[in-house]
Amino acid sequence: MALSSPRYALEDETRLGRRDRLWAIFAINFRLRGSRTLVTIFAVIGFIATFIPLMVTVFTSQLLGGGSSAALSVFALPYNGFLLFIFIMLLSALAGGGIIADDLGSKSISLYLSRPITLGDYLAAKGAVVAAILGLIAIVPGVVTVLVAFVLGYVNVTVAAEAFAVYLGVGILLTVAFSSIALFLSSLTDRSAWAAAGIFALLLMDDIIAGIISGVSGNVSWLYMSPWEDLGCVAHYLFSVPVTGPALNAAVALAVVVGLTIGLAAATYVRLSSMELVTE
Amino acid sequence: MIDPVVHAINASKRYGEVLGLNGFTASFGPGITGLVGPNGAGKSTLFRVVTGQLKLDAGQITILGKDAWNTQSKNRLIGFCPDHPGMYDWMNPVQFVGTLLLIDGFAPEDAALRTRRSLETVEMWEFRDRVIRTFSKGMRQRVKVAQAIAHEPKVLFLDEPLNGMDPVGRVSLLELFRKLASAGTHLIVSSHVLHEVERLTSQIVMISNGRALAEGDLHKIRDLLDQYPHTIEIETSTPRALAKILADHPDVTSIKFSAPDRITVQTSVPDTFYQDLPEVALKEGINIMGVRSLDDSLEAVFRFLSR
Repeated sequence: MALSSPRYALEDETRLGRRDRLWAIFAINFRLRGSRTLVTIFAVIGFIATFIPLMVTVFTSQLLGGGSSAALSVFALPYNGFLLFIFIMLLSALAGGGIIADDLGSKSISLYLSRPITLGDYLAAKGAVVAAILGLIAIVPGVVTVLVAFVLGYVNVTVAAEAFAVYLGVGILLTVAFSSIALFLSSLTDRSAWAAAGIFALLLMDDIIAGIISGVSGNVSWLYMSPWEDLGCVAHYLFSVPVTGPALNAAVALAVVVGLTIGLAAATYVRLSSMELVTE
Repeated sequence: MIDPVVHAINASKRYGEVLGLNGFTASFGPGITGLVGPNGAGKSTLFRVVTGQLKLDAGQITILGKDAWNTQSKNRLIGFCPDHPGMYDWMNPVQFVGTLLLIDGFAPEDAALRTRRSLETVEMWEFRDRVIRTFSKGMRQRVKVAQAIAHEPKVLFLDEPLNGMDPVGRVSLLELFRKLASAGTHLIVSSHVLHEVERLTSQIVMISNGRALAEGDLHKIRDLLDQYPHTIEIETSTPRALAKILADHPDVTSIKFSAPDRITVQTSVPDTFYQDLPEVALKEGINIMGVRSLDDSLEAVFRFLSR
């Protein structure tokens, strides 16, 4: 009898696709992050703090306009001040601080990456969690306001469609950009509290320093270093807010935000793929 | 010629100045293979490489003929039980194993079925409603094993799987590993405790400082060791009297008083010495409370092999 050596072959098992596997990572992490009390509180307050003033502004604008449709520029309100930015910073820190740091701390990242997913899949799903939570205050209040205003007849269909599209576009840009920042800073440590503090402090200090240098030097270009200022500039441009005085260039601001987002995402990928942890 | 399940050729992985793997060359499997080595030998690094979490700086490691790095489809066929906690301890075991199965790509119904089956296998189904943070180390270990076997992998990597287990739990897990192996799963089990691995398999790969020192049958390796001086510690109420007698024994090369009630003896012929010792003690009326081979420790074996 001849002995034959075994030959191994990879079998094609029936399993769900990549999208389903990413969804599983998203779902469990969204549940973990989104169910935290502080995240829920700030998401609800952030929504109310954005929605009510915006609704009142649209209503007043329509009233003062003698019943004609409110202008598109009225919808730029959330990007005029710092209230939305404060909630974005808080949620980025609270939801994003531990998004990778917790997995590094508990080493559960090993369990993820020993599954049939890539590091890119892991990061995309994790980033989507932070983006979805930020979207609760960066996108939802705006689009809800537009829909309500349209239903109540405060805006015509053209303005409503434009405002809807801008909220969606700028909102997605905002959530992706801040998720990218959170992901990167979270990947630098295995302690979520440090990561959260770092995200909040860095975003706040960056904006304050950019404002101070710009004010002292009289050169608005310094404001490009603040992602919030860049996003505000892009939003103002798309909402057709009239420019008074020196302002940032919307195209440059957009390029800075996109560059920052891509750069930090790439840096996070490189950081995790070359992670050198001696676990023994 | 039987194809190895895992085959490493000159695999090297550097952590800055530290070499995790240093030209590691060895073959594992089929069946159960023990990966033994002291702490810091490179066992976990090797497991992180074979599960596709680390990329080698040089060399190659294949699993079932596929490159370990960047072959995601390969991860469908492997199960990994890490040595660290690595768990979402706010979940109960059903949620934990079920979630990982979803990430594996199983449909929710299939995942639920497999979750139950794997938790029953490790005897944790009855604790399914308790959150993991309330579990003992041994119970957590069982849950980790459950997630590793739930998708019925072809190759199972178990990194120090018996750590923290109570004696009864150890026996049942060892039994489970044997059953998995007899059902066709290939197991690679790491441990720094030699006798733990011995109870499971005689096929071992010894690793130290990132290099494979020896591979093959453990008993043959032990026989090799028998050609060299062995150190034996003897606990006795009369160490001086025993030392005086043993000094005349032809196979004893040195004697030391290691403690008030202990002497350490070196012999080049351990088998003869072990045979003679009870006779000598009986004849001279010496009370021997314990005999321990210091060379049984894995570190001693490695010290010898590293020479």
